[in-house]
Amino acid sequence: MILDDLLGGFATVLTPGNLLFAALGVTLGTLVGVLPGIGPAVTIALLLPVTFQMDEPAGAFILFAGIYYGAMYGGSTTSILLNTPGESASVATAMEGHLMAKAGRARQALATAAIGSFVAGTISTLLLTVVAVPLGRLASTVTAADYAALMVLSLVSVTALVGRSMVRGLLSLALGMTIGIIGLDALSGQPRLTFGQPVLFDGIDEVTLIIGLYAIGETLYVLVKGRTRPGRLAELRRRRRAASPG
Amino acid sequence: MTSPDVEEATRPAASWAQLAFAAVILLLGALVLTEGLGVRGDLSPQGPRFFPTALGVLWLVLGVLYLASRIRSVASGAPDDSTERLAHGKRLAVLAVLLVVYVYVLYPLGYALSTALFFIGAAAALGSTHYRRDMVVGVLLSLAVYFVFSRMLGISLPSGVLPL
Repeated sequence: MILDDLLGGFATVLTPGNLLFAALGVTLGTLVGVLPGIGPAVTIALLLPVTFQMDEPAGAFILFAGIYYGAMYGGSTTSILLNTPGESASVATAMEGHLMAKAGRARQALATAAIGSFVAGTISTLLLTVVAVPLGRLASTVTAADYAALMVLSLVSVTALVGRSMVRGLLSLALGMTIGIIGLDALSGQPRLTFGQPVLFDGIDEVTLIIGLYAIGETLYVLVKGRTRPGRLAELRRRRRAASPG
Repeated sequence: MTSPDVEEATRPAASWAQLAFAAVILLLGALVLTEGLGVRGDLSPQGPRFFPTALGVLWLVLGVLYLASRIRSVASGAPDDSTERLAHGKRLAVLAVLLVVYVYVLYPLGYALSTALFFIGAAAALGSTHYRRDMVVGVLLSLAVYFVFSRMLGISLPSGVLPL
């Protein structure tokens, strides 16, 4: 039953026209997704008008799937080359991908990201069709308490694993949580840490934070490390180690 | 990720920098704590006051712990590799000032003009001496980004004084 539908889906996609739509979508999505701050969701919203001229819904869906995966992959390019993830999904790519770029293996890192994106995307989509129903049943049983426990687990493991100093790990954790509570409290609507500024009521946007932390932070770090000489390009590959947090 | 790059071995920064950092942490903790206590509502774990207050206490505890560890390492004379030597302090200050100025002139001057100026200034601050090339790249880049975002993607950027 599931297999029939899956094979039927492949039969629909594997026509020249629909494959062309997929290629077009991936290209568009990658181009737009490379821009920092524009993640998969925003890319789809931006490119929504493209489908107004299309008469067949399947083609539009294929185009959008391509845009989504292209945008997902596009974020990895800036992560690897500039150590600047454009959205939260590609922060993890920046950690190891940028290290590879600094070791002079940017080409391999980009290729790995592209191939990995394709293979893993295909496998996960295939598996999702099989496990979607049990997964959905499980997801509906996850409660707020479980979310809180998961959050504590992630914070604890990040603090314990990143860096050598526990105090500094906890300090960065405290800084992140302090920035996180700026704005109106979700439950009571009380302004917290806004210092009376209405601009801060919405909190600090994730993208703003990522760009400030990674793009500007990386620039200042490169400058301060003393690699720059007047009239010469700073070398990327001779730097000693990454800008490790903590 | 270590390479045999000995000439750039980092020397520990002066211990006063670490003490200043500890002071910043303690001040931040005091600020978060007073702001947290100033939030209206009750102090129960469900209330909006609890978390900022707890964070402020966490800041203060961490600040004291950090200060204690620094004082201990200074007193024992042990080398500390946790801080790195900084260079180009003046360039850093210029770049920071440029960033702040950029934020303030972005809306009055518009995206294209202020970004072009910022690009040229930042390139000079970062040590570029190819001023003519910087100007060409800065102007073309900011115009290209402006038109891609505002015309092709429909995201509005401040147009400012230029008739774009």
